[in-house]
Amino acid sequence: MLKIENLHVRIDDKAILNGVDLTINAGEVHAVMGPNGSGKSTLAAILAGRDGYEVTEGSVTFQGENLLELDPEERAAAGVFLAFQYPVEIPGVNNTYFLRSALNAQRKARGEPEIDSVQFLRLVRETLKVLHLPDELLHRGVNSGFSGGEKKRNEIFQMAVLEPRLAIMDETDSGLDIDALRQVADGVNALRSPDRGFLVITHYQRLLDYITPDRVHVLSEGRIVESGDKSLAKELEAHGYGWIAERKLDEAVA
Amino acid sequence: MATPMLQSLATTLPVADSTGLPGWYRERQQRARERALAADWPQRGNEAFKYTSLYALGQRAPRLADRPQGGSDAAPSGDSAAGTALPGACFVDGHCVGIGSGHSLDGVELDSLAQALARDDESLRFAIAGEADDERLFPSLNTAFATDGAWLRVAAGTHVEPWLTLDCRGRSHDDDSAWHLSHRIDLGEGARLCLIIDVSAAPTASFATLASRIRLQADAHLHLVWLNAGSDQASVFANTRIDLESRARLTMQVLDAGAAPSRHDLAIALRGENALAELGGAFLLADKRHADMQLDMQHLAGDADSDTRWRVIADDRSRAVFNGYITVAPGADGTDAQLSCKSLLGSSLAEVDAQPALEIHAEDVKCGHGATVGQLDEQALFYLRSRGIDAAQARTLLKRAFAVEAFAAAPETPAASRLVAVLDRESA
Repeated sequence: MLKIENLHVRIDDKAILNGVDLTINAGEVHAVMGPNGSGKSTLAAILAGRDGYEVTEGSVTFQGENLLELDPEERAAAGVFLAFQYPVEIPGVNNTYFLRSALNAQRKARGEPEIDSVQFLRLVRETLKVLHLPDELLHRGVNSGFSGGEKKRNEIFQMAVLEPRLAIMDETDSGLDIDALRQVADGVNALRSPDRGFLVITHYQRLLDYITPDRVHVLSEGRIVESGDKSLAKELEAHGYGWIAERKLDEAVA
Repeated sequence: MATPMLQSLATTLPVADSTGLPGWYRERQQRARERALAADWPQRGNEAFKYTSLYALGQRAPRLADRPQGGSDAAPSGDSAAGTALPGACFVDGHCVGIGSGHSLDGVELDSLAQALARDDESLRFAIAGEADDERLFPSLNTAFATDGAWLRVAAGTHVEPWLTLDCRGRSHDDDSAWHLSHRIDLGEGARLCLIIDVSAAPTASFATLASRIRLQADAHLHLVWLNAGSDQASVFANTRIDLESRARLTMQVLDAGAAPSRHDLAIALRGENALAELGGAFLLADKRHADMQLDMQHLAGDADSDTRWRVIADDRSRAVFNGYITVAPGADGTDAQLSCKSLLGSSLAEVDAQPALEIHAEDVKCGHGATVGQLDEQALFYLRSRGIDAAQARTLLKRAFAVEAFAAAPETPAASRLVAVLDRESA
């Protein structure tokens, strides 16, 4: 579904990603962990199409298409969704209106019929119930005056309504208390399906107690330096990121 | 030195329209004409026109537009208060072409100024006699030339349910044309009225002045929506004065798409205690259009509040001027006056000159003002696009959210829906 090959990315003159290789198949959940400044958020941003990054080498294909050539909205229509680390507050744009515009824009781009407001409201109400979100969230401005936890849950709510093929979660667990974390995880788990892939970016193993990954990757200095199954996350939690560096050093010496 | 504009106007009076006008009105016109001819054409050194150049306008010599000749001329069709189907009145090129059903509402008297003058209506004469001469150039020109407009009175205690519309439009002409309108609107004690003044000048070169004198007696509430559809070549000069007596309330919403230029001198006088003025305005400017609001908010009595929110969206080579002047007179203790002007620049060639000012001569006063200029938030734009909304629509959504803040005091109004319609058309 998603194939990242030898991806090099820089911002201004600073190299951030230095040859990332990563393949995510439909139905898989991949976790990318790594210390601050390792390039995790850049990876998420480059996949979603944020401006200001320069790809100097490598490729990203999504369902056989060159993802890097698409505008952000085209990527969304193709099925890419990014749950933001810092969801943006947009007062004055009603949450419901925004989400329906987004859904219909995607459907239109895919040649599907738009859905009317009655159908949409039904869909939204059901989704809210699953995510334990209050109804009144719909009537407010996008993320406007939301608490940190509400913003993150709103991201998952949007994900549930938009039903992407590939969901990228950029540190969705940061700033969440344990109850909110569980609700977010429940939301994600409810969305797991054989035709949907997940890229879960996180600092901590904690989230992965609730969302069990198929693969765990460690990103360091813009490269994936270690990949493994879910036990890798446990090891990292126990030993810290320094442990990977030491192990790499040992391997090099041996 | 009289400019070509003033020279041409000097030869225009007396015009045919002056016949049939009562002598006292013609004398008043004559005085105003003399004031206008004696006035200097405003230069950039004139503080009131510092950011709005009138040089090009002064070189023009518009001809007073003829009265529309009935038939299709007189019954314009369009998206706003078309013809006289809606309650209100319709004016074309400075002449009333129809009074709608508004005049038959209980407690509402809606007349054209021309008709009232023709029968030399005593109460009109009384009302006009009480108006002080305005020495400024454009009000003087309006007084000299306007022979029509709305004369709208709402009786004490009357609550008018439907929105009334004063549709003020100019037709396209082959040559440079001029038209002038003068409205008088009175709300009696405790009266309530929702009114739209819908100005649409022709897209062709023209010069228009609109004077509106609005009085709110004690406890009256006027919801006034002022729309200016915008024009690339018309020059529109509006002078509006609104007086509020005790506990009267004004909710005014302005949406101006700019012209060449669209200038509005708006004086709001809070004359009675506990009067309230909520003023929201949005400039939506594109191409080379120019909008200029000169607000004169006068707190003359105690415990009166005013809240002004202006939002400017200036794209392309457009230019916005907002001068918000708040005066708190001696004795106007307990005043709460707030003013903000926020601007969104959509191009490096667009320009905004925003200047809030306060002059306080009273005690125990709460006043605040501020002006900001910024650009569309790239983060928000990316957020919307990442959800599938294309760049043009995302921009529209953000602009709408920004501008509609001006109408927060009453969000569901014709001003807000027109704003949405204009922005949607722009992004389509």
